[in-house]
Amino acid sequence: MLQKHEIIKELTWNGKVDASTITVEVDDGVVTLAGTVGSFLERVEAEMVIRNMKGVKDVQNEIKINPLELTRYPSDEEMQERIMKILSWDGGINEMKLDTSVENGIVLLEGTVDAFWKRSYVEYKISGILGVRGIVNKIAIAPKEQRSDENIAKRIMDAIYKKKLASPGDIDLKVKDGVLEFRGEVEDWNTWWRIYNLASSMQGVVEIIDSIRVSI
Amino acid sequence: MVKSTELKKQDVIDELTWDSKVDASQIQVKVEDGVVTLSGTVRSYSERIDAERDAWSVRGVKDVKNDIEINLTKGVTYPDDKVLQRRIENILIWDQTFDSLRISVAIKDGLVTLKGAVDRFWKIRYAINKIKGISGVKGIDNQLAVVPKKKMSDEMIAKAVMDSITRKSLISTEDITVKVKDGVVSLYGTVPTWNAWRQAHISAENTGGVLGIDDSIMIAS
Repeated sequence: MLQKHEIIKELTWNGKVDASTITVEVDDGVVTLAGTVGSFLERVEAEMVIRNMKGVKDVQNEIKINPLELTRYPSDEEMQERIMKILSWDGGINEMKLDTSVENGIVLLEGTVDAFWKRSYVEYKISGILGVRGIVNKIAIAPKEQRSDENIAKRIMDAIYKKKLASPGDIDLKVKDGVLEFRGEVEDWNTWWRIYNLASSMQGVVEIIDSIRVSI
Repeated sequence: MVKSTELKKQDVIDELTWDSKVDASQIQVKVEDGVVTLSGTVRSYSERIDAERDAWSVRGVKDVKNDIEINLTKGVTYPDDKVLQRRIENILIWDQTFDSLRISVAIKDGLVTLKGAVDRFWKIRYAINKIKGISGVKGIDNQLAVVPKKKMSDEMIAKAVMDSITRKSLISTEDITVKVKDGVVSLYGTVPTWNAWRQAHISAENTGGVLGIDDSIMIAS
């Protein structure tokens, strides 16, 4: 049974997160994080660290960002300029189709990308930038290659079974106009994460919705 | 005795073709006794890395040799070395993770060399991940050293790494052996999946005081 002190140890040990102002509650494998950290990146990392722990069913992340007292944070305008530059320097992103604005360190991402995985990738590229306190990601997908719904569903389920991520009957997948809807149960969070990454990389995927349960 | 899944060339090709992050049309795949050799060309360094990672994730793979070369797209303007250097330096300076005055960036024909120091081992892979997708990058030679803020004894590091492994969902200290000498962590053992391997590697990577990792973990499904 997952214990609170083990979670605190795991958060404290990794050096990516200043866990001194994070509070942890755990109830039957569901972990609730609250309190504050100094940056958006730490908030994301705290959740990832816990999701990889034994005995975790789910994580509710209620951590708030309380920026450190630094002599100089970049202004919203400086941050917006840096974000657009970083995105334009990347070989896989067409920044002309993206819009960003920054208010009090909260970044709003809009526009389109041509593959589902790029939506998370854009967020990843900017999540570590100094001053980012949050990201609202409203990027839409306009896939460059269309695939039929049947084709997408078959490829994903074939890959899931081949990699033994689930047995027939555990998971149900419906695909409509490139929108994936997963239902069912998996062994642990990491298995769902692999399925999600696999589905994210498929051509033609426009959105992924899930009501997957983790059955520990 | 764990029986290995027999590795088929088509499985590796399928994995590359399904991944929309990689244009696999110019990649060749050879498979022999569980060892995958990738060759041919891709148009960006990050595709080269992703292709290798895709190959590693196929069941039955024992090792991957990556001979893929980068062939930048004709007709596209790529930044010259000086511009690329400035861009990479800015990315590091603007990131909250680095005390970037301690990292120097040199570029020659698109090959990036990183020198200097970081204070934790995980920051090396973090830096590479932030740089690998930049247009014009053809390779990254990491020469960064880890200079920890606090020195840890080999015993303390070994204990911290093993404790972390014990807390992870996919691995245990029954599967993995940890030895530490002069701050370098050596990992041995067998795990069933690439994700399990990754949890073990990250357990070492994130531990304070680690100066290097010597990874001999086998993935055997």
